[in-house]
Amino acid sequence: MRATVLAALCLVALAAPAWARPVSYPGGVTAITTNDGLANAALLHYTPNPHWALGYRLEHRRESGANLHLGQVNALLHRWNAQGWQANWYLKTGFGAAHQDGNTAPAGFAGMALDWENRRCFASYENRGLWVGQDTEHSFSQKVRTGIAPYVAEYGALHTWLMLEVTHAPGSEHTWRATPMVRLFRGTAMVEAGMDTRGDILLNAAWRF
Amino acid sequence: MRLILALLALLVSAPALAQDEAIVVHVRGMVCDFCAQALEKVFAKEAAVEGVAIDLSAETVTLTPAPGAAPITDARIEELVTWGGYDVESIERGTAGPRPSGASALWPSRP
Repeated sequence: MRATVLAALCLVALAAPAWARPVSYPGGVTAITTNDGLANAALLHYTPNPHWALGYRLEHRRESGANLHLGQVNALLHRWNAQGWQANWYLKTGFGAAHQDGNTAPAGFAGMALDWENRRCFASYENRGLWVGQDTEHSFSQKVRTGIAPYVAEYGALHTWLMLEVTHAPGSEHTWRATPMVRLFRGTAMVEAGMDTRGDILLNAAWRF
Repeated sequence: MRLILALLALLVSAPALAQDEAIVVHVRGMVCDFCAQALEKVFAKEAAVEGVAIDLSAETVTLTPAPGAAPITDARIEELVTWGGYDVESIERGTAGPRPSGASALWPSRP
């Protein structure tokens, strides 16, 4: 049982989308949903100031049936603003509980994320360590993503990105996954759709209020 | 006499005209549409600003001052741009041309 919960929680790290900025603008509320072959998840976070955000994450693991309830705090450690590009360095942490078959275990994670983008290209890296229960077991995962915009869209127009994400999760059943995807966004809505090398569908969406 | 009155009227109206001129803010790091909305939201809450126009290609935010409101200062503009997560490169008012803002190249954010 514990192993199942652990395995499920290990995959939480894979469900945090790099495109959904961990810290939004002051006063901004962001709703995010991620859906793939492993889990359905929803995250709602609020940004009180430009340096950090806090939110609540609910995730259902499809394979194990585990439900995760996590409070999440994200911090913007540094931002580089330059003519034509921007880069960010984030710290992400979360604490909460995992429920499955009437059992509950405490859970927490910590990780960092780096991204760089201009109007044509995008690159990101993020990792996360996850701890469950009172023992010392933990897992680690990391992923890189790169993307290119086939055209440069103006403000308010439909933006399109073609992206590839590679995930490395040593503790999971499938250590490596590659997911080509299409990202579309316009206004305050964003959608991503793709299929990974295991044949699992990826469908993510985000809204800002 | 008419000439004097016309000159006086021009002198009186000049500050008001200048106040209504658009302000062009050159912003560093504004490359993402989804994220540039932060500046639109931040400036929309400012009483001195009536309109906000984002241009990603030019990396500018054009502010339309609200009629009758106290003019927004460069310091306030820089404060709001930084609050929105970006850096000011320069602020251009009327035909005076871009002016260096003195903002740092890197945003020294520390949570």
